[in-house]
Amino acid sequence: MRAFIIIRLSIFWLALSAVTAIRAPMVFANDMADAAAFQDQFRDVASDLRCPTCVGLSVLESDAPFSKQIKDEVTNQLKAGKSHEEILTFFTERYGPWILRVPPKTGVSILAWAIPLAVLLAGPLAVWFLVWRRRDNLVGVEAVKPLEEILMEWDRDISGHKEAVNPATNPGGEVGGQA
Amino acid sequence: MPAHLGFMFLLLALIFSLYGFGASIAAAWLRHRRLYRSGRMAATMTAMFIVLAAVVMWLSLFARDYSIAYVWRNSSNDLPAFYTFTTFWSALEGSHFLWMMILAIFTVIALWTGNRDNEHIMPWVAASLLAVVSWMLYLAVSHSDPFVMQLPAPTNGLGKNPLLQNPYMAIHPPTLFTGYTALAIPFAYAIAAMAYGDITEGWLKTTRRWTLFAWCALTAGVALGGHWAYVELGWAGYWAWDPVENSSFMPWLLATALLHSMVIQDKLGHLKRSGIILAILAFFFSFFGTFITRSGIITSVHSFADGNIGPNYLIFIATLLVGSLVLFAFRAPSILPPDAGKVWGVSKESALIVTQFLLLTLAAVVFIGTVFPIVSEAVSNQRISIQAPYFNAFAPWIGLAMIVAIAIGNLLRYHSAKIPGGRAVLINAAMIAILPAALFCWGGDVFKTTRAWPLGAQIVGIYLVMWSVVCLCADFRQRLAPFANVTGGVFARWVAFLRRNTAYTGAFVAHIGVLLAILGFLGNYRGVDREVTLRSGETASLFGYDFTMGKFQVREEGNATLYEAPLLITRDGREVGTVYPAKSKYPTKPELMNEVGVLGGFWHDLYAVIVDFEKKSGETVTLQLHVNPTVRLVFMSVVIMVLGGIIAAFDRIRGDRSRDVAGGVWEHGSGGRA
Repeated sequence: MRAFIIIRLSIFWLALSAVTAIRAPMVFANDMADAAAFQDQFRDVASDLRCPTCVGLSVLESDAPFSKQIKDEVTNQLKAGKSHEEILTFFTERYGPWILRVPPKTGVSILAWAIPLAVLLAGPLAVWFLVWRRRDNLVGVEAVKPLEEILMEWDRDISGHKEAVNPATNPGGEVGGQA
Repeated sequence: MPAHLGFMFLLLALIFSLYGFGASIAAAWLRHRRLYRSGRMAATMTAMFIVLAAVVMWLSLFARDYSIAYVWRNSSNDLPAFYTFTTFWSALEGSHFLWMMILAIFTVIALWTGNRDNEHIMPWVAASLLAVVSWMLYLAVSHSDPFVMQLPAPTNGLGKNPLLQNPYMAIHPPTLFTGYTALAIPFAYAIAAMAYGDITEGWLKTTRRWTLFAWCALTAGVALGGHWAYVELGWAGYWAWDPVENSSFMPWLLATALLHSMVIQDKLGHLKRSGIILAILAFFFSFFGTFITRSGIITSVHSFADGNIGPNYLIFIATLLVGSLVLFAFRAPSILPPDAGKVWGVSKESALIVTQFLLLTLAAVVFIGTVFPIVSEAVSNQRISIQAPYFNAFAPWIGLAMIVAIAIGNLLRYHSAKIPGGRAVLINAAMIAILPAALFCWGGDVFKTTRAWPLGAQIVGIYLVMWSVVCLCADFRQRLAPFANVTGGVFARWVAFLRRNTAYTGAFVAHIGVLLAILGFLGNYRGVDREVTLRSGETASLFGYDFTMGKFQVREEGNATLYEAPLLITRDGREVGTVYPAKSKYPTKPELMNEVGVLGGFWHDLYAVIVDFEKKSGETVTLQLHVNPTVRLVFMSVVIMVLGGIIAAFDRIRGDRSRDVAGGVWEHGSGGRA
């Protein structure tokens, strides 16, 4: 049954990806592939830098004079062959980590990344332990346990105690079965 | 001297609210019924005086009475009547005033419409609400006085911020404040339940309705804010994860979590205490948002200490939170879970827990992203920015889990690990979903996305959303099935179904809305844009559309002067429409504002904004052209979500059957309930 499900699901995914594959080459048939690649690169860098004078926007989205300067600088540096990381480093050295739109993954700032990740990872575990596993003590435990079972447990406890006192008398340890 | 009159009304309101607070506390302590009724009357008088003060403010605005500094600073002679009216809440003192007024009005409504079964806890409800109202009134007569005078009166005002001269910004604040303040009622009932020592009969019914109302208002308010940003700010998006937006989103997330907690409380009697905590946090966050936006702490920790408002707010919200939590620590143990066995395991109740976990995690991410820069600056003196890319690193994953949780959670039943109809439902849904997903991908030009990761994210997201929608519909069908035997035709069958499943239908509609919203958000992965400089008659093309610039024109509209570049949009030679992006100039402000040109469709909006133009001749215009996919879908889905919330609020049964009924008695007062 399960294998069947997996097969069916994978057929759907194959169908979907086939559709993707057919349509995808049209994109690369673009004449201006190089220009587009440069544009993509530029966007990646520009959307990682904040607009210094706006609230919440990247330099890419902003037309403030300061943002325009930064965008020109990014364009120049990209044309000069600098990589994404190098350009970000350049701006960080100049304006501090504040210019980046995400906190650096060093120092105190690492907490901004670590806490959500910890919550996301530890949360399901907490839900599992606190909620799902409670099912074990689902039915009001003692109340519904048959009397025989309780007596058996007592026996077991008593013989276990004896065993602990004098292991030699009961080497097999088949305590539970004797009751 | 309207200013004196207004201030006097506020002062009177403060006195009445303080008396009402004291009377309510005493009434709760002594179980004195008539004292409580006196307190309730004081609350009513408080609201009345605040409304009177507001009337004074509005009359002064319309009379252009610039002897009141607020009127002088935020309006001017040229302002149209509609925006003169909305000037009431277009600056700090006024929005504080508006918030206070809505809160006072809701306090009165909550106290007079309270369930009779709850009357013995109402003194606590009144006391909690009046404490908040009193504090707001104290600010309104001290540090946030809207009636400060400006003498001698100037002949013209400084003018209203042009960004706020937009219909969306006119209704966004009242809607959002309605949501914020409505959350005060569940908060007050939570405090009352703790003070009284138990959840009383009818408690859930009342809080559920108010929470639903708040949720609808918050949903609409947040969306209106997004729509305003979209049409007014000109950066072609509706959500930037900026602190102001985040602070309106956090109460929404908590209210949503609270609603899901209430479902369990209603059905199984569990999670009473978590409901109380969520009610407290939801209200706390609606104030927290105001605090961080009002106190200036967002721009810099150092600007915080300059004003009096910031520290005042900080003391208040800290007291609010610490006080509530201390009360919780002492009193929550007396609120007992029901005798019913705990059945969690794989079941609907567990799915609801998972949902709450996801919502609260998202809230935590938003919270950390909003306050971390402040903490970082205060602690290590290092200034950092946390903006959209940070939130976008987490939110899609949580959204993905939510899509799945919505589908599975709705299919599951209480106390049961089995999905009715078994796995066949899930598998069939997986099969059926392919067609709409493929159609959506095709129609929405998803495959034109050039990059692998956004493309993959969209395909997975769209497919899962469609699967989830099909699962929801399958569940709806299952619930509809038993009503097939109802006689009297299709209409009678639906009436019978809706009567018994009002809340369920509301949830169904709201969940469909959420899923469609996610479908709409995915459009952000495939937006394209281009910057062009055009002369009159020249054409630029983007995404198969040709934008031809017409004659640049200058015209007057209302109180603004528009510098407009009409763009004729054609596709394959056929006319699609014309948009009129412009820069606008308002008489009282020097800067030029963006007036975007949007042509909306189901699949995408064509969005044009003027970056710059040749100021002397208007011959060349630099434009930013955007194709924004599925923006309409997002705003449509918000309407659907609100509709779902409204439907659910009409449920007459839900919340009636409180599992542990606690009765109360008055010791003093006539005709007390035995």
